[in-house]
Amino acid sequence: MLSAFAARKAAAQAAALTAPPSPSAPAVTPALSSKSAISTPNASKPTSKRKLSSQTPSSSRKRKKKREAEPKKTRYFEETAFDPSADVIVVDSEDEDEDGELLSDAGDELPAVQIPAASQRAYSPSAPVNDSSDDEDEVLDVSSSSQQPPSPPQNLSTFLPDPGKNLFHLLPDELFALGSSVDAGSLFALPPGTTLALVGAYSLRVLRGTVSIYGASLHASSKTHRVFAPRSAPIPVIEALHPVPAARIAIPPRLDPAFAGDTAVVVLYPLQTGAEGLGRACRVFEGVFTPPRLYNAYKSEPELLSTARLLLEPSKDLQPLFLPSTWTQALDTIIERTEPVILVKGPKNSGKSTFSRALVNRLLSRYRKVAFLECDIGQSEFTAGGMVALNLVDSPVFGPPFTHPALPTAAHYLGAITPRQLPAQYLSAIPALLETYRLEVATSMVDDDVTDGDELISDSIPLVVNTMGWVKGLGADLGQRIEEFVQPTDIIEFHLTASPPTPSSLATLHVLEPIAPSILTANYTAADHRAIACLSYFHADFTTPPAVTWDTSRPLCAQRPYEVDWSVALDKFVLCGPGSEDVVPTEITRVLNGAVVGLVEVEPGTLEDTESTSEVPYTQGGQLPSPSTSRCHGLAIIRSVSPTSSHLHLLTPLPVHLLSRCRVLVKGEMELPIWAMLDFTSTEEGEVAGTEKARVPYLQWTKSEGLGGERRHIRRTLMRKSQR
Amino acid sequence: MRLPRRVPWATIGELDELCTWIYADESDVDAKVNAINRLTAWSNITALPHALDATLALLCVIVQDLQPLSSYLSLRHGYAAAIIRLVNGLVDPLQQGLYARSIASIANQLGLPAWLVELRHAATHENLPSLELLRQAARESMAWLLHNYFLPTINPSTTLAAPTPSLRPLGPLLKQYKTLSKLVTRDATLRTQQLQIQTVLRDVERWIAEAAVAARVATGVAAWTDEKPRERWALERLCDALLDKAALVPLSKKKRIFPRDDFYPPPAAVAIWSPLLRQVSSVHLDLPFVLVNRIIAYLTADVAPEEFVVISPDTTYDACLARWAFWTLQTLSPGPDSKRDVLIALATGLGPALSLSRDFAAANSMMQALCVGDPELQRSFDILVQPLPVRASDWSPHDISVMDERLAALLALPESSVGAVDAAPPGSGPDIDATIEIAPGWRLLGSDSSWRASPIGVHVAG
Repeated sequence: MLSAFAARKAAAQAAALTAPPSPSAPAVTPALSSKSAISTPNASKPTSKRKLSSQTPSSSRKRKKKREAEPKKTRYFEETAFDPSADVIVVDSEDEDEDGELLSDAGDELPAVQIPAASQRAYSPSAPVNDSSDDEDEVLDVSSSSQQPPSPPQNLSTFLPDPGKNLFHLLPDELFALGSSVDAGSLFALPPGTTLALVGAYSLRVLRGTVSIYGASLHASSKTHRVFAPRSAPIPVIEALHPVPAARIAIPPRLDPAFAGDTAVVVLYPLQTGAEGLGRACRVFEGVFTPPRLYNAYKSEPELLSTARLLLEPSKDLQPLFLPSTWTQALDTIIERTEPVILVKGPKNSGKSTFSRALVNRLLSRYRKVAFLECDIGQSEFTAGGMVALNLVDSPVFGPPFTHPALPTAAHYLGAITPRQLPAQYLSAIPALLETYRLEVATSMVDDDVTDGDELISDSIPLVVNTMGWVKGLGADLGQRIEEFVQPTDIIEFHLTASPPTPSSLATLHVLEPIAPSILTANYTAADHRAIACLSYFHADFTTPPAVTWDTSRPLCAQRPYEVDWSVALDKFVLCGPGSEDVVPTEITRVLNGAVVGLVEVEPGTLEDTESTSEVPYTQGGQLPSPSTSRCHGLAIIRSVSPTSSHLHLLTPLPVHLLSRCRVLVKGEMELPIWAMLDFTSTEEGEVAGTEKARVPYLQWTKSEGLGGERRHIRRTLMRKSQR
Repeated sequence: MRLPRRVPWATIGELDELCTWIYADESDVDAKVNAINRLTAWSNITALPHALDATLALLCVIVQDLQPLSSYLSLRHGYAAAIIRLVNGLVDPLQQGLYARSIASIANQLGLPAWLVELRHAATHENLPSLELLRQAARESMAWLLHNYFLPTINPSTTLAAPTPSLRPLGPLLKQYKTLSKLVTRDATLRTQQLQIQTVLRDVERWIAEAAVAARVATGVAAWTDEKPRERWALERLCDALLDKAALVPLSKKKRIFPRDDFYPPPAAVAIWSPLLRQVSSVHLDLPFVLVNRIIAYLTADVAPEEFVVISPDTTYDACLARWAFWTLQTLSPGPDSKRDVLIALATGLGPALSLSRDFAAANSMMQALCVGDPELQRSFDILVQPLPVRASDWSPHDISVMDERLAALLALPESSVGAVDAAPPGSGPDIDATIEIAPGWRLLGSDSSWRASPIGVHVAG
């Protein structure tokens, strides 16, 4: 409970920081103290203050203003529509959670339980459970005693650069002596507790000591780690931990001052992957790998790193990655567990993805590989979305999802960004993937002998399950079913959830504080993140060792396509999504043109017999291939369909050897982002591959003149006049 | 950068074809089935515009009605659902304000027949209407869609003669508010008047919602779903009404007595108008910004010479407005940087070349007031105010040639950099670019094929 209220207070404070309180808006506190106040529509007022921050005159002149304000509003409305009720329920249900949890785990698991309120009321099986009135008193106590919620650190870097003492630009022979093949690099000496933050992309190697970054603890080794720190996501902060004595390596004498004392020593190399070019393709993310405009990043002579800038001053457009104490406690607990299966759940924007990433990173400092089951099909960690996917991760991920697309070990394509319209198919995909995990992944012997001399556990592969942010109504039911399928050992729950407790579950519940909404959620919408993830996927090159790179030299419309003869190479086209059963065979090529499709491999002989009446292998009302006998390898764009022959042109980053195995194409609701249809190399706005903008198909630049010419627009927020 | 919209048709001609299928021959069922199939395909490509969505629903029921049926109840349900969704979908995006407006009043602004709205209500909450009535409503709806969606979308020019929005004047409302507010400020115990003020404030809110709807037609650029520009437009109209004489600025010059120590408007005016401003800005967060911008625009506007002769300069009016702008910034101010931004706006508005036809004393004094208490702003203001010595003697014909050189260099730059990017992709060797047969039926097209880059959706055979 403490965490819930502390977090809400933190959120309120954060809101108050971004905008001066306006006298007419009631403060948040009334909502906490009286239930009657909660149900009044006035409760929407406090959040309206937050909207203010995006509407300061300064930001309104920016190009993005209009775009950012709208999504923000929806977000705010959804919150206010449900938050008040969450306020009420949380008090009770969390209490039950706590009791059920403690009872079920009373014996062996007790020390591991991470319940923030534990300090308020020590548990004893014989003591009576507090009744509700006591509870309310306690609530008030807690809220008044926790006046100081943990506030994120203001400074990004506490490291003070002092060239020649704690900062060295490495010379070519020194780089060679350190065994690096890169032609530039800088060495930083960090006393314990010092933090270092950079915006951009760089690779990181720890020479001495231990540093923590994004949940991971990195020890001195010869490994380099790729770090992507765009402004569109919280900036990963490198923090020097108290050093563990490590084997000394041969150091060029010039660098000796850096190794004085118990400093951790890291070397940062510039990192060229092409990821920064994605901002050209999706202009919302233009320049995210550089500091914000008017920001004075640390400059040095010669330039520190060509691809990243050292951040010393805080800025409202830069948010450092900050793991609250409850998060680190949970991470510390889980890492000690054997064969953990962790389920992460919570409402959207509460920090699920960030936590899952930190968890994967932390687990990778103990295990060689970690399995990641993505049940959030809207904003997936490793794939472009639209599918439930199981990924095997073997190196920590330092960056937002678009910087580490990966080919799934197994996946099932649904073609939607939410399971809302196909809950049954969604649910059937998850046990299929869990079976794959249990049969193929968890028991797999490590075949490679590359042990690097470290002591990582390689005969056990922990599983992290990330769930979707839809936790109300049917979404809650789905979440419950997923939990039953997964049988987690640990459940991570972010506290705004009002999900019912599961007394049958044997899992340890970790209640974490949600992260406060930040400027980032305002600047980048979920749709933006989906667009950049999609573009990142289609521009990615998965064939370059050791890790993915991006080719953004040309837009998708100019990429060489695969020409596929569907009469030879494909068995079936499947449409899914609401209304798809009405699409008649004569219209199928029209529907496929320009669509995003899943490339699905189906076990031979399991495909239902299709009596195609036309030459296109499509039957109306066809079913999605069963998850037990199929798997999706990736996505493709049908960039065009031949009007005369049985050919279509596909764009896909999938490795060549997988292509011929995918004989079924599934088209769902998911659409190609508009950004992907544009040509960022053209000099004329809207011109695509030499075609003037008025003649580009499927895109309309002029506004619609007719009434009702826009898509359905949903709002659930109107008040009646009497609701004053 | 403004993104284009995704539409399901490749060219507007396809929409024209669809329109012909639907409307050309009332009794041609095959054409209607074609239209249904096409619309269904489109709806699977991308979310349909609401009008097309409604057309699809109506067409399906109409075609169903042409065939013999076992149950007419399901037909009535089909008709009713299609009509309910049509009306709701058209009206919902126009629920702009904080409070729900009656559907009838919005439908009126849209030109939707009132009885369709009544039918919607009946079908939703009352007995299911008769088949005859529903058939009639479906016909009328189809006709409305033809005239209000299909024809204007296919031939955009025909709507140029769109009627200008009829917006009721705000003046009387503000006057009523002023009268009431004046009474209340003198005697705070007047309860009934306070209630009346609430009513007026709510009316102002309603006026803003109406204006936002009218803005769609008036601005012409703003798209249907873009709420921001429409709200902005409505707020601008509100601010214009507030800037009129006898509103924010008292009509009588005697009443324009400014406080000495603060750069604020007359206290009496503040007492009258601040409740309104606070109320509106609590709902429409852009209001302070719009108001200040309107005032700055007015203060720095260049009055045309002929106009200047007619209107004698009203310095206290200007000063009062400047003070209102300052007051707005101080009390309703949204952000910490707003002062700086306003200062920039003022400075750019005033410009380096001061016009002689306008008295900028008010703007200047506002700039000074803004800088008080902020050393950084003060410093930049001092720099601004300093007359910049322009030394014409420094110029020589040689400078022009230097500029020409630089221009030429700049112009040459883009081409070379574009060329560099194109040359960049690795493996520009002939082998790697060649068409490769990967698997039966799969070929990666290369430069030796006839395939060339084209927009997504355009087929160029390889």
